[in-house]
Amino acid sequence: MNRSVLAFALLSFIGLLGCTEKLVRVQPYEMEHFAQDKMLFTPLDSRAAFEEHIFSIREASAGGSSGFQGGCGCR
Amino acid sequence: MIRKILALLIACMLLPIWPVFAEKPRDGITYIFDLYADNGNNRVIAPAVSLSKKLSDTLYLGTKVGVDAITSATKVAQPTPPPSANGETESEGGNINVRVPVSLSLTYDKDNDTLMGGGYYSYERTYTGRSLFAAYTRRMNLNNTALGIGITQSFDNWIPDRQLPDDRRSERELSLTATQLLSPKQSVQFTYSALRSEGFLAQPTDALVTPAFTVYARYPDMRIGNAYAVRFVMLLNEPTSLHVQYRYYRDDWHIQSDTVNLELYRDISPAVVLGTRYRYYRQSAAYFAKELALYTPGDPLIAVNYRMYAFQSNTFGVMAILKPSKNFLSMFDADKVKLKLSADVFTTSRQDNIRYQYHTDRLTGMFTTVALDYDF
Repeated sequence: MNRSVLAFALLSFIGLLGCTEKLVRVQPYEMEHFAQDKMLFTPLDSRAAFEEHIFSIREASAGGSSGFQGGCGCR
Repeated sequence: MIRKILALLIACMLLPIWPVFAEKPRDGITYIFDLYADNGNNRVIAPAVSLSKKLSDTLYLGTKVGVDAITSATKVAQPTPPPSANGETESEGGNINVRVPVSLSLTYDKDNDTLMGGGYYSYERTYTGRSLFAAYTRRMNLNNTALGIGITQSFDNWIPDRQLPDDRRSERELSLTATQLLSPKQSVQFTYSALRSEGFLAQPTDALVTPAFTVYARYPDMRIGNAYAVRFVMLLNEPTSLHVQYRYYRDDWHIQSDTVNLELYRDISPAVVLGTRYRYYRQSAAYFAKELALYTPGDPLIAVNYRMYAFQSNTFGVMAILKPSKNFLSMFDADKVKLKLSADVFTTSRQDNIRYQYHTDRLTGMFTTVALDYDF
């Protein structure tokens, strides 16, 4: 865990420094596709929340979704 | 203005969980109707209303209120009856429980920074859920990059029908997310989650019943897990996009899992997007899981639930996003309305503990969602 956090923090720090011009890969006038529903990370956000809840009940794994989960007695 | 907001809250009763750090907050309302059913006689009906209301140029109020009508998700405190050869043993379904989850959040969004905080509360007959959450997202590099950090801490309590060694269950999740545009048609998101659970972590009703003895499930009182996920979205051609997701999870109970999710979306017309998905999941067993026949009453740790054992599952689904035409919805601004539908079917591999718990070789279930979005 510590190594992962450190690696992520390091990358984040580099990004925050603003020395990442190479990461500007798409100009603002080229972003039209990312406004489409099908290009969102979660095109159906309500389904994403519900299925995360379902899978957390039916499986022993969790996390990795960047979403928040309230507690319930289902698990 | 404040009166309008209060009236809206009372009328709609709402919520706002913000699922992806890279996206801006919405100013709108969503009506949700979710259903779940499986061959273990579990049923969930979950209507909800979600609101994210823009209060000012930088502040958003979010709330979500729902009602989950559940059969058997929370079982009565009786040992699970042993499976019978003729299948006459009563299934665990039939115990109706109602859960009312409510969440409230406030989001500050200005320029390239978004900060969100909030709380969650739910009540059901045998469980009380409480949590606090916070998230910060920073967009940079002309919106090509977004970094996010989020944390949620729950302070839950069992309300058991029997004496437990500890009525508390708390869970903490810290998530770090990095999102990057790769090209005008490709984007990628990395997520790392650190999870920590403490308290009574087994289901109070899970029990091993043998002719000689009956014992309830006993798990360690702490669990620490880590999840690593990557999500990739690519425009294959103008009407079609491909979503690929992989997650690796492992914890100190020696459970490891792999999850692969593939989704394909296609614009059928300017008003209709259709999608299909396949999801594969597999996990290993917890270190204290063993054949039920090998347990003795003196074992310090006892697993009964199939989730503590190795199994695989496959999920297939279809999705649709409908944007009604102006002729169809003449009363509303059609550009602000979206109807999102999905139906998924999952089935697990054959497993002895599923047979013990649900009296069927494998668990097969279906869940559907209907969501009507309206942007203010």
